[in-house]
Amino acid sequence: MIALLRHSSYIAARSLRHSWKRSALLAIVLGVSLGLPVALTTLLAQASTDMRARAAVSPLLLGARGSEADLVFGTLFFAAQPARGLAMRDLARVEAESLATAIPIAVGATARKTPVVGTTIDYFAATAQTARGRMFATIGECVVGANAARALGGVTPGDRFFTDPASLSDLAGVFPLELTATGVLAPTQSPDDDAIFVDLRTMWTIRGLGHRHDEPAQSATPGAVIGTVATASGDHKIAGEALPIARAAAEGVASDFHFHGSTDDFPIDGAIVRPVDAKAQAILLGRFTGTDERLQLMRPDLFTERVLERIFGVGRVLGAVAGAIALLVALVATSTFALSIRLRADELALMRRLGASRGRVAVFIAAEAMALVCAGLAIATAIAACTPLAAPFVLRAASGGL
Amino acid sequence: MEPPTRTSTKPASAPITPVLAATELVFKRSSGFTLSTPAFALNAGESLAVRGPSGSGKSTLLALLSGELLPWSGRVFAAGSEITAESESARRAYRATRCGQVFQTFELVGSLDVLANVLLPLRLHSSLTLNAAAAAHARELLARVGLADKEHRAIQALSHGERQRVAIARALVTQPRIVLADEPTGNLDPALKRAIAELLLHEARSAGAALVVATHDESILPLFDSTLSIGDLATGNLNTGGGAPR
Repeated sequence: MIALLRHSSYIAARSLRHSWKRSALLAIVLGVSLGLPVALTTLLAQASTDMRARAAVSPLLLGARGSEADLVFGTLFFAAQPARGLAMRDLARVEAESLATAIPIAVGATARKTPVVGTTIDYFAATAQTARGRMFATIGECVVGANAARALGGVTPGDRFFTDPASLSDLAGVFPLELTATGVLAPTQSPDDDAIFVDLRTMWTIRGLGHRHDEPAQSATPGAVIGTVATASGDHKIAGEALPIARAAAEGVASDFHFHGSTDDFPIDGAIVRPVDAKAQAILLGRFTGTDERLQLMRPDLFTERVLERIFGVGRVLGAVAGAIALLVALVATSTFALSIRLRADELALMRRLGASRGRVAVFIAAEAMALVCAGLAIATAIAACTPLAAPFVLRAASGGL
Repeated sequence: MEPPTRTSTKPASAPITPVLAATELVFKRSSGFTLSTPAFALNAGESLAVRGPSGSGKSTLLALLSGELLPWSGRVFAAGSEITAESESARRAYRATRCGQVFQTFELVGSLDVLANVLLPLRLHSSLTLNAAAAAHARELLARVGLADKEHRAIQALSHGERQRVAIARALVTQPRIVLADEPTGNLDPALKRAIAELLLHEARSAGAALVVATHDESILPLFDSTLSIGDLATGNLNTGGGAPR
């Protein structure tokens, strides 16, 4: 028996090596067709874990009434700015009576195509994040997610870069603001890794709501002052349109940035709401159910489960399709192998003429088939083993940063 | 029934039991083809050329002698047993262990190198053992047929003459008592035919094996001890006088 195994292994190995291109192709086709359904299942599981973890960051989300998807993907995944936002004063509705704390989120800006997220320092306390360097403190400072730091060319604390202009063709639009990185966040395997975080005031400045300029009276630019108003406290110069607006957040000038108007009216895109307890959550949810309500307070976890249910529904269909393809590929591979055996009919007939039994010839063929199947299984196993490692990159590439 | 015996062409003091013997054999195919051959016997080291035109049944006769086919009538005695009375398994064992075969188209395995082709028969039956001694014997055979330096060559890299030499070495690797060769020079250049035939005869004689060669090549017939002529549906004509056919 041992001799038969040795001989069959030898004959199989020589035959497979002799036609190595065919052998490799068959093994790869088998391996990929068997490994893909496993990889798909793993990716879906990883995606659902990531989405649930993200939803868990925010028990409730406050935003303008409208699409829940816009609100969740905009404020939790920084994918796109929701069509409608809310004002800072709206946060008071959830923070009143100390029922919850609200962390505002403003999105929509980018720096070298990396999303810039405006929030408060509380965001990092809520998501338990630490940074190499320090967190942002003033206008123009930012902390960069781990992946974003790499994508921006290896950003380290102290590096500076500009935000992207809102529109290159809009000369009258918002100009880029120079940001200074003060820290790089530790990796979290979440959308935070791919974002740049700034203070809300910085985001408003990016949107053109705040700015810094020279003292009009001291400006040498012609037309910088278009008039003077005499008041009890003295004369005040009226700045003209020609007064240069500085966009660089040079060191020591952050305090020169100022905003015209009340920050209570300034826009945000949503807010992470953390109720103090379940009762507070129930009370808050009940306050935003009116038909004429312009805001919505929703549970991201429930939304995520609905999305996942849909994704897994599609995943099951894809899995069935992948399974059917695997079966089809296995049949094609088997047919190809059978054809290759038929092409070697003379060789097998020779073995019979030289005294080999049908059984022995069958063992030789089976050994060859087993070797191919084992190689295919090894490839499938490698795919399955590598999928969890590659999942973060695959999912990020597949979701466009979601 | 005892196997037929015949006296050697050389004087001998006592009858010798032949290694290969057949009574009159008849074999028919459904197509109407009928092969009929006279009785004959071969002792160890003797050779027989089976001559006849294409389609006359030379290969069929070799298949009867190897036990691949069974005759309609007649008996074949080979290497001490009546193979026509044995089971398929026993006949297969006979082919694997006691009967070496050489084919017109060499029938070598392309995925195996020269030495592996020679050793192939030892992998095909459980009663044979492939060990260091067998490998040494195979190498010795390759040296005898002039391929000592080509044992690891791919078959595709060999000339036709070299391939047939490999086939001869393979036929002898199990140290058979009978060697059957079907048109061993049929695919060779005229210049090579005689050399290969002489090599086959020499090696079979050296190994003490009875050799039966089917051929329609008249030029090599004088090399054999005896000749059996078979023709279309004709009764064979056996010349046991050695040398040229009658």
